[in-house]
Amino acid sequence: MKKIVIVKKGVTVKEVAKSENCCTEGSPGKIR
Amino acid sequence: MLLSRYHKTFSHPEDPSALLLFSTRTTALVVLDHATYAALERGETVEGSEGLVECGLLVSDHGREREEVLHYLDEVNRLSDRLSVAVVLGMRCNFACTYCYEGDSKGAFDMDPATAQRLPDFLLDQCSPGCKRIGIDFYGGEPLLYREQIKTIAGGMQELCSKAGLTFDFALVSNGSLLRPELVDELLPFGLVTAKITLDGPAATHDRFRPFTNGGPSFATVLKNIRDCAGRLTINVGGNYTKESYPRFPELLDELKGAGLGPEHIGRLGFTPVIQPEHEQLAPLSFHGGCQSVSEPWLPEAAIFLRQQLLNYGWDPEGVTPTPCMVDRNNTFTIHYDGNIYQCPALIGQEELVCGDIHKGMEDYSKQYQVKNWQGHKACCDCLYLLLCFGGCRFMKYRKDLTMDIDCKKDFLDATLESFILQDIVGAEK
Repeated sequence: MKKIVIVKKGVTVKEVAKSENCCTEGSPGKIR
Repeated sequence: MLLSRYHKTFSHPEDPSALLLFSTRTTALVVLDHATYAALERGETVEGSEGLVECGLLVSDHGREREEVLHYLDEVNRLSDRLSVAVVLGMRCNFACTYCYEGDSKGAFDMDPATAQRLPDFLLDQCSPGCKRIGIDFYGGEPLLYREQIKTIAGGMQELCSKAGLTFDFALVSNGSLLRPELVDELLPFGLVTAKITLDGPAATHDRFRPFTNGGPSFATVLKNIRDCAGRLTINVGGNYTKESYPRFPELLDELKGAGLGPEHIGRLGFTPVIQPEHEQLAPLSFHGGCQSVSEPWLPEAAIFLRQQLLNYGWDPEGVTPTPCMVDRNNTFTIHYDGNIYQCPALIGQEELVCGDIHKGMEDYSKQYQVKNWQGHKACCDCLYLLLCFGGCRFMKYRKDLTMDIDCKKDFLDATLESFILQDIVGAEK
């Protein structure tokens, strides 16, 4: 096995800046 | 280079010689062996570790890393190029959802023509210098009861944005009962791109929580509309669950499958708990069974269960990711039908939370909403989960005790994060 395997690179602050708001209809909230 | 302080390790589900290394700062996920991890912890250079820098798991300085985390929201605001606004067109609704946060404030209250006409100019004035896009989420009540106002506002936005060199689009946050293909076709030229629709479990559960105002069932109508409109625009489906209702949500996934609706037809499918309005000063509801805090003990089990079901049925559930609250984002706010400005669509109608109007402009709301409320808590500033929490949901906290203080997600994340990450590694249950 390779010593380090990157499964997911994660998100950059720039991507978060472009992401949607948290609220959805009916019952907003930030619990996923 | 140093191993980031914002990391968690978990056992690999299939390989005892390996570890999962997760960044709570970037949400990067890495598999490595125990010896490599130990070497990284000692600050030694390890072959192939260059990628860990890009992932935010290796840093040059812990002090600088902490500063970057504490100023993360400033950077989010600096880099944002989109003004994102929720517009509440009015309070009429053709549904009588038992848990609706708008409660008995719904009724014949509509945005007047002068407010709708003024809105595009006001929004353009709110654009920061780097702004390239404006997006509106039309809320109600039920926004599709206000199609002419949608066209007035969206048409005005298109005209102004075109002159200013900005792009414009809008989404509907709708119950889905009126979303017909011909209506979608009518609104697409005005910038409609997305509809966010709610299905609260299978028909029997959904119809109990989300009946029409005459008491009739709505599930079949909404499902048919999703099926008929899929392909014309992006449809995201959300579902609100309670402690009692969530075990039946797999039946919804069966019903979607039975209707021929899969991930190729629906943009995003995800479930969130109903939030219980509990404080005595808030509009009382006969509904009980919602969630009062992210720390409720049944929530982790429900969240893990529902996420696994999505994977089992071939859906791609939303991952753990930094999700700043609208309150902390400079370029997002809500305009109520009367022209008043709030910082969250769920908090409309609370007089003490009005922070300006579209005629006088936006007022300083930093104290009113306790912007960056976590800064006053040392435990938050030191917390590995800060970027996954940002002080939790303001709305939930306000509903519980009328404050904008933090609703700490640490217990919830401690109880769920490993499971969520393992789910991403293993995928569907065999």
